Amino acid sequence: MELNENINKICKELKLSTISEKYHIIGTTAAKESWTYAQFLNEMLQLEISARLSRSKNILTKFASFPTIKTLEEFDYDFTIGVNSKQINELASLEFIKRNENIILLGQSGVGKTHLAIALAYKAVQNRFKVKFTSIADLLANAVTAKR
Amino acid sequence: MSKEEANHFFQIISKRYERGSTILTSNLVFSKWTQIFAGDKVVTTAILDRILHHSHIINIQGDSYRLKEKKESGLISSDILKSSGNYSDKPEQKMKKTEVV
Repeated sequence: MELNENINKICKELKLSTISEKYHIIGTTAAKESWTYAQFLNEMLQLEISARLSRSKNILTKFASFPTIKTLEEFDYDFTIGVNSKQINELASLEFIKRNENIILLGQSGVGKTHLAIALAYKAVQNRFKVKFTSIADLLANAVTAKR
Repeated sequence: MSKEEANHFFQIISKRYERGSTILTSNLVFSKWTQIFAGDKVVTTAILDRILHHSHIINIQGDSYRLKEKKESGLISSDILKSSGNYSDKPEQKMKKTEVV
C-alpha cells in the first residue's frame, strides 16, 4: 500500500498522470504475459507519451480557434482553377513553416481560400505547431487593446 | 481601417517577418490593398514587401461553392455567378490571417 502511495506521489510530482493511472492494470497484464521489466517500462512510457501528445494537440486546436475544422482531403480541386493538388501537397509537408515562409490565398468569395488556410493550419496543429486563426478585424482589435 | 490600425498591422507583420509563417487570405488583389490600409501607400508597400518576400501565392478562380448549391437548387439566377475575374472591385476589408508561431 505504501509502495502504491509512493508511486502515485512521485508520478504526481513528475506529472506522469497516465502512468499513475495505468500502472496497476498494465502491471497485471505484464505479469500474466510474463513481460520483461524493460517491456513493462517501455509500455508505461509509451502510454504516457501518447496521452501527452493527444492532450497537447487538443490544447493547440482549442488555442487555434478555428471557426470550423477543414481538411485538405475535403478540398474539391475540380471545382476551382488555379490550385493544383501538387502545390498544396507540397505545402502540406509544412516545410514552409520551417523556412518561415508565408502563404497568400487570393480569390473572390466562396472559392475556398479560408478552407485551404484552415486545412493547412490544422495540419500544422497535428504536427504540434502553435497556430492562431483570426480575422484582421479581431487581430487589430486585440492589437489596439494590447497597446493601451 | 484607420491609419493607426494599418500601422499596428505593419508592426505585427514586421515582427513576424522571417520569424514565423503567416497564412493570409484576401479577396482583393495586391494593387488594391492600399484601400484596406487607410489609403496609406507607404505602409501598404512596407507590408506587402515583407509579406511577399518569402511567400507562396495561390490565386484561386472559380465560382462560389456557397452560391453553387443555391444555383443548383434554382434559387439564384446564373448570371450572378458569372466569374468576372475582377473580384478586386469591392473594397471589402476582409482578410483573414492564420499565424504559425
